[in-house]
Parts: sequence; structure tokens; C-alpha cells
Amino acid sequence: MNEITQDFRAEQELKPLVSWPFFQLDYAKCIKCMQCVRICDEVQHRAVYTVDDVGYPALVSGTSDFRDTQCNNCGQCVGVCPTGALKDLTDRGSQPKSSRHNTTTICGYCGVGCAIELESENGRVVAVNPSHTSDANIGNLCVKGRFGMDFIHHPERLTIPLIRRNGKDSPLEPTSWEEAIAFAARRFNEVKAKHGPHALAGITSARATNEDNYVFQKLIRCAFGTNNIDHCARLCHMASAVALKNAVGSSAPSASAPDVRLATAFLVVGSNTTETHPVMSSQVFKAKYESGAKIVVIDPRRIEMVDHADVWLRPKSGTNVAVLNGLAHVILKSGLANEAFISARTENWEAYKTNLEKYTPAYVEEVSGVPQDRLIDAAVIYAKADRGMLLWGMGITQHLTGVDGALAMANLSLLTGHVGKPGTGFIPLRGQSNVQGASDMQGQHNALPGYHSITDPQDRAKFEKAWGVPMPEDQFLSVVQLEEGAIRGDIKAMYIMGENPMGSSPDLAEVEHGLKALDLLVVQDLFLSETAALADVVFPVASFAEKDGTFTNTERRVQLLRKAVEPPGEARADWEIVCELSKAMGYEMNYDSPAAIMAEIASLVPSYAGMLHERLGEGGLQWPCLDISHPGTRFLYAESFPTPTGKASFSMVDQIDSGADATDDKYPLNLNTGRLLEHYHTGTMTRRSRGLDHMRPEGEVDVHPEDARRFGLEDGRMARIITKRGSIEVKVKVTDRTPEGAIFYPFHFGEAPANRLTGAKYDQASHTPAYKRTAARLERID
Amino acid sequence: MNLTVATNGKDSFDATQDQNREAGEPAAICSIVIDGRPLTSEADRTILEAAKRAGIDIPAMCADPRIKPTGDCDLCLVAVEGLADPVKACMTSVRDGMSVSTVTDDLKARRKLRLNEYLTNHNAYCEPPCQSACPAGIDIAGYIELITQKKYVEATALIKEMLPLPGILGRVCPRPCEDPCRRRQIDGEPVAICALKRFAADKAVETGLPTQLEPKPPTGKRIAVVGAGPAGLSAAYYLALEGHNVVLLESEKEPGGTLRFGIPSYRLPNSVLDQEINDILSLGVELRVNQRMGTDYQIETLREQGFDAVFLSIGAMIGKAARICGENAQGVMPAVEFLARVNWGERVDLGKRVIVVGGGFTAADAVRTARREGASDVTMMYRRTREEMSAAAHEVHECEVEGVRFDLLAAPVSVTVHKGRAIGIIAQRMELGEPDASGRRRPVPVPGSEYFTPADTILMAIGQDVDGAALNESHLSLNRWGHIAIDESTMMTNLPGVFAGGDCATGAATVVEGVGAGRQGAYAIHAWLNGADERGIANAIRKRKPQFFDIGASAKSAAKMAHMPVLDPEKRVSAFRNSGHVGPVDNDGAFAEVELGFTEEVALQEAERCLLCRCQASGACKLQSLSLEYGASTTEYKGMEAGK
Ligand SMILES: Cc1cc2nc3c(=O)[nH]c(=O)nc-3n(C[C@H](O)[C@H](O)[C@H](O)COP(=O)(O)OP(=O)(O)OC[C@H]3O[C@@H](n4cnc5c(N)ncnc54)[C@H](O)[C@@H]3O)c2cc1C
Ligand code: SF4
Ligand code: SF4
Ligand code: SF4
Repeated sequence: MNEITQDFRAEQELKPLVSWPFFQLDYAKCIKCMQCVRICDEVQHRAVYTVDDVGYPALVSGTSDFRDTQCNNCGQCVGVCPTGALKDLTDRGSQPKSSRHNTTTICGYCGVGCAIELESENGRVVAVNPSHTSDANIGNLCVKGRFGMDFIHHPERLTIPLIRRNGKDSPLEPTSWEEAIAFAARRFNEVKAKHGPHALAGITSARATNEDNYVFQKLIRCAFGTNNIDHCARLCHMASAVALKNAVGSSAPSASAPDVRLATAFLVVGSNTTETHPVMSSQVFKAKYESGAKIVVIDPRRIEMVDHADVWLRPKSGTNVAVLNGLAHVILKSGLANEAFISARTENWEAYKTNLEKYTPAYVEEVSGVPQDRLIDAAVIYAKADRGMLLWGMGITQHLTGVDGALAMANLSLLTGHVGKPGTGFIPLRGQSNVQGASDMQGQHNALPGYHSITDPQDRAKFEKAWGVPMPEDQFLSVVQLEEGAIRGDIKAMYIMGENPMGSSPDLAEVEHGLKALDLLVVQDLFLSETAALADVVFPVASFAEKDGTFTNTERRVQLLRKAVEPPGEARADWEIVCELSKAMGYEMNYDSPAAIMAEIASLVPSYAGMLHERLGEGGLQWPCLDISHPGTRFLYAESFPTPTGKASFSMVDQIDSGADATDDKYPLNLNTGRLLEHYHTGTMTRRSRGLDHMRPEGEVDVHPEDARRFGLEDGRMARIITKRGSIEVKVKVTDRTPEGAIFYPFHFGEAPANRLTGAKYDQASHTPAYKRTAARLERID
Repeated sequence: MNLTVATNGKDSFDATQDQNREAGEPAAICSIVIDGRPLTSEADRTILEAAKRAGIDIPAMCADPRIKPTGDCDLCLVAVEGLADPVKACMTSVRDGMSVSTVTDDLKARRKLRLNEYLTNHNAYCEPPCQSACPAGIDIAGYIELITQKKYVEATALIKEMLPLPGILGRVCPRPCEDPCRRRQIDGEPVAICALKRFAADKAVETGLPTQLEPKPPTGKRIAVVGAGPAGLSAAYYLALEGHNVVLLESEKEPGGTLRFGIPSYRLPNSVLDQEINDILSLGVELRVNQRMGTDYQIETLREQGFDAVFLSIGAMIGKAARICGENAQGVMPAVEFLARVNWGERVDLGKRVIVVGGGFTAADAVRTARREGASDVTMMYRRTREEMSAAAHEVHECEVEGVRFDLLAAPVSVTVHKGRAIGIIAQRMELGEPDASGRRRPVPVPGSEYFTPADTILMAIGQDVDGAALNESHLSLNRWGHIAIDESTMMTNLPGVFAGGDCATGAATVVEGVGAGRQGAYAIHAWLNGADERGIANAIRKRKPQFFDIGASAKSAAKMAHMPVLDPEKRVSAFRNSGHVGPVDNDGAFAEVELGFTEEVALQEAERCLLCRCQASGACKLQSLSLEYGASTTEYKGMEAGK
């Protein structure tokens, strides 16, 4: 030992900085390169790290616990550390990194579609690294992607098919694949013979791959013989899709992650981006902090993005349309409308213009509570920007007026001409990994794959030729209607792939009733979800890490999933199961791989024509990709819109007080539901990740301090949320994140499900349920 | 669908300047030369970016494209023609006509110096040298860490991932892992790795909790393992865990091989042996004793009986001849034979004066067993010095404690025979010359130094051979030493499906090597049964050889290695005098176990001494890869305190 190592002893005594249970910083290995400090500051923009007197990273809190800071455990610092100083505590590997197996694939959580590297050892995924191969995340990851993959090997994974041999009262018992498939096929055929094809229905998943979704809808149409198919994107974003289809001719988001990084002004509406799409928000920060972009946030809750915003508008819940129209009004009156764009590329301008008249700042303030000067500031920022970008989330769509909200957004981008150029456009942020793809593959009733019309004779003929059977004639039902159909007894048998309506549907009690009334329920899932527990046949499936395929992310980017490990036990990939079942029902589907399925998709869907697996390796391709040499399309509408006239159309939308679930004396609070950073969807995956569940083991209801006083509630104590539909007991979190008069409760927690409180009211045009607004009251529990 | 196609932009990861480029503002282009390669680059790029785009890697610790460069790491220095001092590639923009060199002797020296500085402040190590020195590759740091947490069952289970006989190895292993232990850099002594293993295993047995997994579902394959020594037992264990049906064929009446009839019970009590063998058999391994290959069956017979693969592990138990005059006289005997007879329960009268020739395990066991069988004057005759003895140092010490005399630097010349009986030995003095192939100095006779030592019995412990009679097979290839010839990378003999390992393939070695070979053999067979070709088998059983470099160790406390408590020497020796066992010897009387094992308190203290030399980042760490590349090490660092 020399003098220096002697000296070093004192330093070694420094306690490691710990972010339990995700990572820790061990000073003994730190070389003071400051990469961790800087990525946190420059990319994540969080007040976490500082530098101590001797040049080591330290925490701003002066403690050694990351929880005392703004750290949200994204682990970006862990990824950037050039040594082993920042250690991933969730790493389950026993071998050194160099002898592990690496697979580049796509994160299965949200619609950003981050490229990740799965490290595996002896057939188990043991750690996750970010991958720099995709433009979607350019090497960034959030806490779920980096630390939330342990659900893959959760002991509760289904490993063997289950079957109820003797009716609803008999138990679910393990069985062989042969028996499970034959049983399901025979029973589906029986129901079909007895009640006709339209007594059958399928619900597919926005978490399954394009290939899975494609074969699934093919089975529903060709083997079942019906259009009764939907997926849960209905539950979050159908409103956007319908609105955009009307306004610009396509439901797709127009811009991409690179455009987000280029934009100079953002309107972020009803999207808690930092929590729901953290990697997208870091790209917004990049634009802001590296190029001076301005941010306008419109949200009733004091979400994190507010801290980075130049202007924050806090409308009363349900008054989005008024505020958005107000912005348009100001833009128009200040002479900031893009006249050239409007006259060359849009229609319906005059009517729209007239309709805006009444949305004066004063009127908007009266309706929404947004101060006039702020409204004007916001309008000017967006309209004057070189490159304006709109981002919105479920705050827009999960309202009774969801389509109107989305139309009002589209209007803004047409009004300013912020579309069809680099760094401009609009992105409705997708909740799940493959919402876009599931829609493209038409896991939906109202169209054939690639948005081919189910009613157009030419489109029908094309698919009848390709699939060799006549296309069904029926006029289709949406997911909510399907559930209602089950309750009424119109639907007798249902096939559900990777969905958990018992966790995600707006009206739990009704859904349970409906599913129990079915003659046959077949579910395929990773876990025995609440829905699977009601099934007659349960197929165990491979997780995203255990199969090949593609996801289409929220920027239309089709990216490759690659198999990292074998599925547990006898679990199989969704597409394999679907094809087997189809065959057993009498409709042959033979593919030797997902690549072969994609080749068929490419032959039928023009915007996917160039999407062959072998072309999707590094970073994927964005549709439209019209042939096998096409480079893909970063942003849409450069020259025209895909409407019959080639022009986009303004829509007249008005703030209507839906009055649907207005507050009253008995239910004086507005209940808002939504997502948390650490969890995803109904929590079937995240709640089974040790680290993620540790961070947020239970849901808490956010209550404004004023309301807390009014109802006698204390932080950390239990309370009962009561609506006209039902009640649940939860812990109280007193915070000014939520405005006075409104409470927020996340929907990931099965033991106290938010949806027990909400009703099956949905937006009439799109059938997206109104999760965002339900009248409620709080009661203290002692 | 007529969605209009717009520009496709692959966003670059590097520079913020790219923003403007994406938005359509082009940058000026300039021509540069890097390492002799002419390139073009946009003028607003740094040298680092331009090089990276051309596929030239400039070393850097802090060059993440998402973060603004600071130049803090000082490694990306490059030489620019015309400039006296090197510049930081991450901070310097390219210029038209610039000529850059990324590797020069000067740059290499600077980078190495900088890395040395980093390492000096770096109190950790990438991969434990102990683990790669262990022939079975046990996760030593892992089980020691578990011991510090008092998780003894888990610790034992972790050991059993690599070696099914932890209690046995914890007693008899020659501990090759302790040599390179980094703890030596702090207080001169390694961590008592082996004694801690024994401690964990004994503790786990006390709890009665299972320390091994359940076998995987049956594969339907049948495998014959011939020879139930360490190698065969280990092969059987791992094959059974993989779900194969294993039949263990043993020529003796009980399993264990050298563990049972070589190593005496004062070092390895039968109870420990039985316990661990029973654990292995409990996986469903079928043991058939009194089944000698070569006499009762041959490889062909096994094939006919429907075995899908065979593992040969018959050891090397035939004492080597010394090839000296008088060697065949009465009173001269191979030491292994003597030990076997005692171990099987026979009382062997050697007389008073015994000479054991040799310096290995067998010699050490023979002298100490001879003392226990009543010989009062026991000498160990060895042709080199104590340092070169292959018996472990602590055992040689125990020999001394038990009153054994050493006659070092002495080699036998002939046995003196009177009336057909040996009465003593003529030996010759040796001196140490140049080191031989094994690195030990070669003994050279001193001319005219012969001398006579009287003896009643002479035991030869100069090595063992494989039993040629057992290998009376027409097709099986042997090597020039008479060992079974195998391809070391696949453990396979020249006969397809016939594998071999342990002493019979390597010559007399150690238990831990045998166990390691058994495990490798098991996974080789498993891979082969799954259809792997030679490369596939080799991949399945390849041992990693990590590269090491020097990072000086430091620790909070400088505690010396804990001592193994032993039976009181006086009592021990007095028990020898009263010894007169009839029937099998066991863990009592003169054959009572000498080493007593650590108490929990001592074990916990000792476990704390381990530096847990391993790092999750190994293999992905830039500091590690660059230090290896530039030959950095702490011992070379002479500068000021680093990093400030
Ligand atoms: C006295 C002595 C002390 C030792 N002390 C130590 C020590 O302290 N530490 C250490 O690490 N190493 C020690 N060794 C070496 C160590 O015991 C061996 O290297 C190790 O046992 C080799 O294991 P193996 O399985 O290859 O062979 P063995 O242990 O020799 O086992 C071979 C087995 O095959 C059986 N067999 C033989 N021929 C046939 C046949 N034809 N048909 C069927 N079965 C057959 C034998 O009966 C035996 O059970 C010692 C060796 C001896 C002789
Ligand atoms: S990135 Fe790693 S080595 Fe660099 S300062 Fe942070 S902890 Fe230390
Ligand atoms: S891998 Fe890197 S951080 Fe870990 S001990 Fe080695 S040099 Fe240090
Ligand atoms: S200190 Fe521990 S890990 Fe390091 S070499 Fe020694 S026993 Fe192995």
C-alpha cells in the first residue's frame, strides 16, 4: 500500500448513494468523470446530483438516499457510467457482462418504442441496457424499461394451458396443447353453428405484435366469420384516431421523435408526459434546453412538465375545447394565422372562423378559469414559433367530448400551418407499445388491415382474394359494445388475446357479469389475470422478450422484436396459438415465422409494403414505406393530405357542458384517473416487477390541501372514494398537483381498481370511455 | 392511401449542430486526414465525432453523444500536425487540411499515465482471481458474501452449483484459489477460502435444509458412469440434475474412490463422505458396487445394455514403481496400498521404524497413518526441500507436530535386503539445480553422498498410474503415460459417446480437479445428447479465462487470516500410543478428525476479510478495457493524487 491508497481509505468510508431497490453509486469505483451528474442534468433535467468538495458526485439533498431528491429512477446515470461505480441492483446475473448474451429488441411497455438490449444468462433475462440503434429513444430509457423487466420470469407466469372441462363451475385444470386447442375450436364452432358467426367476438391487444394482431383479426374474419373485433386502444386513443381521420384524412401521428427534438414550441395538452412517456419528455427537454424551445402546458393537474413550462394553463376539468378554441381565437385576432397555408391546403375555413368568434379570452376565462393574459401568451408562443408541435394524451381523449378535444388540437396545427414540415406536427401519445400497430393491422371492427374499408367492394375483393373466403357483412361492435353484447346475450363466445377487460374496462361489475354470461371465454395471457380467471380455456403466452415480431410505435416506426430467451414451460407466441386455433376451426393459417406473416402484411397493406423483417434491423422504418427500397417517412403531409381533395379540413367544435357526470352536493369532487410512471396499464406486468412495485406498492389518491381540510383528511391516512358506481378504500396523498375540487387516482391497482368507480359513459363518435371525469366524494376512515 | 412521402431523416446522435442540419441548413464540408486516412467531414464536427463516423475509435471515458463534451477524462488526446501539444478530440473542431494521429507513442504514454492515476483511486477489482484459479470455478466471493450475511444454506447451495462435495473439499482441498487471493496485498495472507467452505457446508448440514435443486424432468437417456470417486460422483450429480438416468458402476464395495480408501479418516471422517454421497444418490442415481470394468464388463457391454453415453472415471490408484534394487522385497509396499488396507479396516503392523519415500499427499498421509498404526520412528524422505513438497504446507506442519522426521534432499538408491526382507534404505544427498518444466528446481545428486538408514517398512509414495488391466479395451486410445486420451475441449475419448475425466485422464491430480472434470464431463455429455457437435460441446463447457491487471487493494482493517483450530497435539500423540484398532477406523481414537473447523464467530470475522473482488461492470467497463489495452496498473503510478 502506498501513501495514496492510504489517503484513499478515508474516501472509501463514504457511504454509497443508494436508490433502493434500483441502483447505487459506489465511490470506490468512481473515477469522477461526472457523466452521471451531467446526463441527469442535461438530459433528464432533474435536481438530483451535485458535486462534493473533492469532486465526487453527491446528492443535492446532502443525504445518501436518492429518494430525498427529484430522482425518478430512470437509471440514465447507470447507463452512462463508464465504470462499475453505478451498479444496477436489479441485475440478477451471476456472470460478468462480457460472458452474457445480448439481444437488441424493443421495450414492451409504452408507445415510445425504445430500443433496448436484453442481457441474458442461462435462458433468463438478467439485466437491461439501453440501445442506441433507434431514433425513437437515442439511447435513453425510463425506469420501467431499464428496471422493470423482472416480470418476464415471475413465478406466476402461466406455463401450461388450462381448461375447464365440465362447465363453469368446474376448476381450471392443466392440460395439453392438443386438448386445449381442440376444445376451444370445437366449442367456438358449436356456438357458431348454433347462434351464427356474429355471436362470436374477439378482443386483441395493443401489447401484442403486428404479426399477432394480423393473424388474430384474420382468424376472427375468416374462421369466426365476423367483424366483431376490437382492441383496447379504444380505451385510450380512439377519439384521437377518429378526430384526425376527419381532419387530415389519417389517424396517424404526423411527426416523429427527431421532429420533437427540432421543434421550437410545444403545446402539451392533457399528457403527463414526464410520467407516462418519460423518454419522449426528455426529447422535449432537449429541444427546450439545447435550442431554446418554448413549452406551453395545458393541464388541470400540476404535472412535472409544468416546472419546465413557459406558460401553464390550468383549465377546469372538462373545459379543454373552450381553451383550445380560445387559443385559436387569439391567434386569428392577432393576425398570426398562416393565411397561405390555410388557403392552399385546407377547407371549411370560413365556417370555422365564424364559429371562433365567441371564444374571446374573456369568455374562455369564464368557462375554464384560465386567465386571459396567459391564454394570449400561450397562443402567441405557439403561433409565432418557427416550428410548432402538439403533444396530447389521455387528458384530451378520455372525456365525453374526446373527439372534440382532438379536433380542436388539429385545428390549431392547421391554423398555424405547423404541419408537414420538419419539427412540426402533432403526436397523440400512445399508451401501449403497439397501439399504432394494432390499429394498422385493424384489430378493429370498422376496417380491414391498412385501413381498407370493410364496406368498399374493391377493398373487400382484394382481401377475399388474398384470404380465400368472403368478408363478413356485419356492422361490427366496439369493445364497450361487445361487452354490452355479452351482457345482453348477443355475444355468446369470446376470444381475448392479451387483454384484461376485468382490469381496464370502464365498468367492472357489468363486465364481470357479461363475461360470466358467455357460453365460452378463451383467454391467452402471461398471467392468470382477473379476466383469465373467468375463462373456460387459458392459453399461456410468450412475453415480448420471448418472441420475434414487430411493434409500431407512436411515431409510426415499425421496429423488430427479437427473441432473447425461451418462453417458460409450454408457453407459446400469440401468433402460433392463433394459427393453431384457426387451423383446428377449419381455416388453414400456415406461417413458419413472424417474418412470413409480415411478408403477407406487406403484400396487402401499401404503407407497410417495404416493411420486411430483414429491413427493420437498425432503428426500424416509419410508414408509409411503399416498397422494398423506400427509406420510410419521418413526417407526413409535406405536400398534401390523404383526403379526397388532398386538403385538410377545419372542424367546428364547441365547448359543450356534457353535464354527464357533473358534480353536485352529494358528489362534490371531480375524480380523474390516469397512469403513474412506475406502472403500466392494469399493472399485470409492472405490479410483478419487484422494483416497480416496491416504489408504488399501492395507489394513492391525490387530494388538494383545501379539499383535504374540507373532508378532514390527512396525508398518509386511509379514505374511501365514493361515486355513484361504487367505492374503494385508498391512502390519501395531500398535494397541490391536483387542483382544488378535483382528485386523481391511478388505475393500475387490482386490489382497489379505479374502474370500480367509473361508468360506461363514452364519447359518442369514438366510443372512448370517459375515465377522466366522474363525480365523487371522499370519506375519512378512522 | 395517398400519404405524401416527405424527407426521411435518420437523426444523428452526436451533436446539437445536427438540429440545424435536420431543419435543412447545410454545413460546410472540409477535408481531413486521420491516421493517414483521407476523410471529409462537416466543419462543425469535433475530431472525435468525425473519427467515430469513419469507424476510428478514440479512447474516451466521457464522450456520451447526449452530453456536451467537457474534455475531463483526458484520454481522447490526439496529435495534430503542426501543433506542439496534443489536443482533446472531443473539444476540437475539424479544420480543412487538418492531419490527425490518434495513436502515437507519446499519446499512449499519456493515456497510460492517466489510467494509472484513475486506478490509484479505484478500490475494487473486476473479477476474482480466486475464482479463476479454482479448477471447479466456484463463485467464491459469492459464497463468502453469503456467509457474512449468515446465509449458510444459500452459501452451500451456491458452492454446489459448481461442486457437489463442499464438506469434503472444505477439508481436503489443496486450495489453489488461495494463492492469488488479493487479500495478500493487504496483510500478506489470503482469505481462508477453503476453511470457510467447510464452515458453510457443516452449518448447512446442521440445519438439515436442502442445498441442492430438484432434478429436471426425465430425459429418458441412460448414462453409465464408471468409477465412484470425486470425478464420477460429480458427473453423476450434474447429469442427474439435468434429468438423465445415471447408473454409477464401482469396483469396490463402497463408493468414494480415493476419498474413501486413500485419504485417512482423521482428515476426512466417513460421516462427511457418506452424507455428501447420499445427497448425490438421493437425486435418483443408481449405484452398483463390486462392478469392475475390465473384469465384469467392457465399454461394449455397456453399449449393449442400452446406455446412451459413458463417463469413465476410474482414477489412478496403482502405486508407481521406483525402479530401484530390492524394491520387491518383503517390507516394501506402495503407500496407497497401505492406506487402502487401513482405510478398509485392516490393522497393518509396520514395525517401529518406517520410511516413506515421497513428498505429496500420499506420502504425508502415509507417515501420519503409520504413526497412528503404532510406528514410533517415522521418516519422510523427499528429494527436494519442504517448499517444493506438493502436500499442502499446513499438512506438512501437522506431520511435524505428530513427530514425523524429515529427510530432505534425499533420494533412494536401493533397498537393502536381508533374507528377503528389507532392513533399510541406501539414499543419496541431492542439491537443487535449475528449475524444471514444473517450475520447481530440479534435484541433482551430490556425488559420493550415499548413506544408509535402517527401517522395518518402506512405503513408496512416488506417484500413481492408471490401472491398465481395467482399460483392456481394443479400441480405446491411451496416451503415452497410459492415461485415457481425451480431447480436453470436449472431454470425449476417441470412442463416440464415451467421455472420461479425473485422474484416469490426467494422471494423479487433486479432488477439486476431479470434481471439475466430472462437472465438465456431465455438461459435455448433456450437450452431446442434445445433438451438439464438437464445437457445440466445447462452447457448452468452455471455461472463461478473464484477463487481469493490477489494481492495488486496500481495506478498512488489516486482520490476519484466522487459524484453523486443531486437536491438541499432545493428546493426539498419546492416542497413537494406545491405538490398536481392529476393524474400520473412524472419527475417534487415533483417527479422530484433527482439524476442528471454525466457530461461527471466527468464520464471520474471516469472511469479512474478503474484498469481494468482483464487479458487475466487468466486460462492459471502459476503465477495465482501456487499462488492459494500455497496460495500466497502480503499482506504476508515481504522480500526485489522482483526479483532483
Ligand atoms: C492418499 C491420497 C491422498 C490424497 N489427498 C488428497 C488431498 O488431500 N486433496 C486432494 O485434492 N487430492 C488428494 N489426493 C488426490 C485425489 O484423491 C485424487 O486426485 C482424486 O480422488 C481423483 O478422483 P477420481 O475420481 O479421478 O479418481 P479416484 O478417486 O481414484 O476414484 C476412482 C474410482 O474408480 C473406481 N475404479 C477403479 N477402477 C475401476 C474399474 N476397473 N471398474 C470400476 N471402478 C473402478 C475406484 O474404486 C474409485 O472408486 C490424494 C490421493 C491419495 C492417493
Ligand atoms: S458516471 Fe460513474 S465514474 Fe463517472 S462520476 Fe458518475 S459514478 Fe463516478
Ligand atoms: S470492471 Fe471497471 S469498475 Fe469494475 S473493478 Fe474493473 S475496472 Fe473497476
Ligand atoms: S479477497 Fe476474496 S474475492 Fe478477492 S481473491 Fe481473495 S477470496 Fe477471492
